[in-house]
Amino acid sequence: MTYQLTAPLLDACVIGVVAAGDTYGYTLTQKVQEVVDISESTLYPVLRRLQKSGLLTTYDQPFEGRNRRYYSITEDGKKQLDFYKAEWEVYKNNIDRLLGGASNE
Amino acid sequence: MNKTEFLKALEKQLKYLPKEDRDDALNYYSEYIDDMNFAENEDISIRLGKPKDIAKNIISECAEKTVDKHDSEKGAKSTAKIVWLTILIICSSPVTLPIAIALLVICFTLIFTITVVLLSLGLSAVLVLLAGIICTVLSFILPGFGTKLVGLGIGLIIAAVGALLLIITIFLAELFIKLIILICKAIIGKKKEA
Repeated sequence: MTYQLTAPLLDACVIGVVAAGDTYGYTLTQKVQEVVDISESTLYPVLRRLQKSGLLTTYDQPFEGRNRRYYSITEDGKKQLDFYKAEWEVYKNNIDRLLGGASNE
Repeated sequence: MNKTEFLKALEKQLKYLPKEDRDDALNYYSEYIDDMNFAENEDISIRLGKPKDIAKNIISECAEKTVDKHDSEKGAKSTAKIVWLTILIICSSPVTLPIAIALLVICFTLIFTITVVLLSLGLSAVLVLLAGIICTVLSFILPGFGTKLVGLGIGLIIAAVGALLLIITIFLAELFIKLIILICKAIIGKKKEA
């Protein structure tokens, strides 16, 4: 990976994945790992923080005789995701402009 | 390292965290390991990471959370928590243990000395204040109006000096606590960037 992922962008990615459907720690990590180079243990503190700040919520569901903790998005989380998406759009376009030479502005 | 050994090691690394935070992390990793489908004799820490490194992440996240909380709710309890987590972070930092211990000893000695100085200052202030009050009261049983007046004046002056000393001591103590919190936050914040 040439480009580094910053903390807010990682937050945004995690919220985005959860917004697409409730999921648990392992598949969530797998999905993010398909795109970004993160370690297996990167997401736990992120999930915990998002949960503490009320953007994600959890519920438990039995699976093969054990427990599985699912994460789902809250109303605040959806708002935050919209904010992140808008910010990303602006940032992405600005970078694209710079990469294109920024001559058309 | 199998699942039981891994979780035991992680629990040991997290033993000074609040029980709620520790249990949450252990539950998460217990589930995570089950989902990773390890082979019978596979070493979990190779794919998942060493318990020590995982614990470091969890502890610094916990510390940041406490700092955020401290900004909204003040109080001795949350201050103590910040100081405690700072010590944990220093201990779990890559600095070699002897240096960490030396640093902690120096910090503790400094904090202890300043605390003792402040306490003695506070105690003297209270005693001076008390002496002033007693002197003021006793002045009433002195013979003669002039002597009474002089005794009263001296008593009130001493009491005022005591009160002033007490105020200064409390001010210094508050300043000292603020300084400690500031230093702790700086250390926690630094770990955040690393």
